[in-house]
Amino acid sequence: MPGASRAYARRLHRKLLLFTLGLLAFLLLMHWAERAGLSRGWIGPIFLFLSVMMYAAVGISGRTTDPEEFYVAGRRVPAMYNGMATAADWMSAASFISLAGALYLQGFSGTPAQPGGLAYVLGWTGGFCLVGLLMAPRLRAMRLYTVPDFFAVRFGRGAQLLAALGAVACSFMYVVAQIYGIGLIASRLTGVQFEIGILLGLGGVLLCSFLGGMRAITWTQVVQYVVLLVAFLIPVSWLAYKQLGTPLALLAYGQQLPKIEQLERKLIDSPAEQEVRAHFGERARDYAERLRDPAAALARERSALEDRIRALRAEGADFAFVMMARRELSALPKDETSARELWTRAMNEAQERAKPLGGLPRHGQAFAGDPDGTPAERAEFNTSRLNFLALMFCLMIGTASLPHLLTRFYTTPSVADTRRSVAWSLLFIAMLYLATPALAALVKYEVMQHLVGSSFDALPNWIAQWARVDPGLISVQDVNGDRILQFGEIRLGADMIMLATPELGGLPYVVSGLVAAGGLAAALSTADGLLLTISNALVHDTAPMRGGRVWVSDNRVILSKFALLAVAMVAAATAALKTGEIISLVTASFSLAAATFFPALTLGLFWRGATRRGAVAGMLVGIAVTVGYMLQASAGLRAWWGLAPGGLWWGIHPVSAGFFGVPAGFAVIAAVSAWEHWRRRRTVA
Amino acid sequence: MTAPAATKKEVPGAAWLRAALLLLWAAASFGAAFFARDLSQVVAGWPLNYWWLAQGGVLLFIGVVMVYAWWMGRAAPAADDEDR
Repeated sequence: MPGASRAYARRLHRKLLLFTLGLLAFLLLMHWAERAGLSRGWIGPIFLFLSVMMYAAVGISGRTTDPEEFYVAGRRVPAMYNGMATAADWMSAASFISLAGALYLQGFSGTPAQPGGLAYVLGWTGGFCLVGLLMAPRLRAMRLYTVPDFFAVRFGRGAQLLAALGAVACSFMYVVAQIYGIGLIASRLTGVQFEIGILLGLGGVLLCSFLGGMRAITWTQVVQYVVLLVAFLIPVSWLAYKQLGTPLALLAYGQQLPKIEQLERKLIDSPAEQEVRAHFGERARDYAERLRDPAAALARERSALEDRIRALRAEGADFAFVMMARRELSALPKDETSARELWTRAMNEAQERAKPLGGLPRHGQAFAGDPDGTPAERAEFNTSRLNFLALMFCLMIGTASLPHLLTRFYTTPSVADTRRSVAWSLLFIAMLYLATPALAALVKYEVMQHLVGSSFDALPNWIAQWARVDPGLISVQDVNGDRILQFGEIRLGADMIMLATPELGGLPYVVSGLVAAGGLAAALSTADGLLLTISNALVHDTAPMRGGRVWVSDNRVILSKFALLAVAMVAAATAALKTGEIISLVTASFSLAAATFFPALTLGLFWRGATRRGAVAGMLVGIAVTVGYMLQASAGLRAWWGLAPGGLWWGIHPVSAGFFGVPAGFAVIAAVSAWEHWRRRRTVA
Repeated sequence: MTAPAATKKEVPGAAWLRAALLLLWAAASFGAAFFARDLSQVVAGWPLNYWWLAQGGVLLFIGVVMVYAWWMGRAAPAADDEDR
């Protein structure tokens, strides 16, 4: 029915065009309203509520109880639209909110403590080559409903359950990061508490995915893609126009790289910056001194503060000063263990900031260290490069194994459409990913050229506003007391840089609202896909096959919907604990997905010899190696066991644990399968 | 549906195309990143290594996926599409 499907596609094109025009008209209207005096307190909530309402309306119009629609959207989403939905599904809060910030902080390849930088750009796009060439077409040809279905069909029940468990684990970690992003944006945009922000966003997620499953998600994701693309490209183009005189940021930002290098050199040599660094060096030494005997240091601190309170009282000082000293006293660590933990962290941070550029690597320098330098520098270079490659490996392999992404390619009408759809997805994703390094470079230039050197008495408002949301996101402190802002005195969190970009660049507040709405779209779209994957894994993938076939039923759809509700609640509760930075949570879940699924998927699809036992053993070993490496290298657990920090193999960072897990999985599947074949041949002979 | 995909016949040459494209993919990502420090020459205003890792590589990935989709679509017109 090519005629009918062409008419369907034409109808979709018209809707998309109308929606995009409507969005742009709305932005112009808001811009006009801001000029006419609409208060900022209204703009944020308007963007938040209108966008969530819109997604909910699309979601509700796609409601369904039909299993084929609920699981795979009836398998009739045209390649291009599936590409858009995949792009939104794929680009999470980590891509939209954190990536630009991470590129700002990490430059080319990241710091020794946190590898990253351009590895994210290449890793998160390169994985699609594996998806398009190896995974998606063959999985689509099998006409399944979920990724664990493949394990059920190819390897049987044990592998199916294991895959369901893996899908729940990595998607849950991922969804927590998204909900944290939702809370961050909602609370900044409306000024409500972080926890209430989470609930607001959660309502939006549930309205989309609860009622209509995959069908509703697909069309909300298409809408969300348009919002997030517009929200990203407008500030980038605007900043580029301000700095370079052209809105084509992608072509022109190369000019800023040498300028940033010059500014960096100037900052490294500046006496005021060196003063700041010396101050942090002092602070680090002070903490090191305390850490030599934490119990005594703690007692000393406590008695010094008590003395001060007594002295203040004796001289009848202002009550506010006494309160301040009291607060300091109660903020002291409770016991020796917590003192040690707190001070170690503070010492590490001070040491970092005592380095040139406040510990940030030079923006354009590939890898730390020097391949032609001293042995120590050479070792640093090699570790830095290896970490870059390992991270890229985990991100690519993880892309090709994340269940919520692979199921998106089940929804196209044919295998050929699946292949085309992967190409569309990558194209849509690249539009944002190519712009992200540009944004990072433009923001860095803006900070170094304009923000640094401004007076403390006239700091822009947004700094204080962000510090109120979460003091961990931004701290600005006049360390050397000269009332002038130095680069070393600013500490930015990766998660706020993109959201603060419009304010930093002096763009109208409407753009801030738009960027926040874009971040919300990115987080919501990914959370939708992940929640659906988790609830399907819990309900659909724990049920056995019937007569060797995967099957779906109306009852399961209802069960899935309730599982979805429950999972969303648990994820929100976990996110409210503010467990970690978005980007490290996401990277860790990539590692886990890579080690769980990739070896068994590839060998299952391409090697007839892979056996059930081999697959189960390989998955178990892959998970064990990955999780084990992450746990044994995590600083908190090591301190708890009383071990010295470290325990890294070849200096590989724990989030890239999949670098070991994936090869281990391959080796075990191959070895166990080969052993089984050998045994079978011997018994036959 | 239940038959593992590995048992299905494939278009001749598809495996070779995949291998060649994957080789290109690996060279563009891991290969280029490995030698990134040595590629810091400035070409047309851009440091080459930064440009490749931030833009060139991604464009090449798009090319890889597009070539595969186009070639397979041409070589196997609906042969592997057992769909209604």
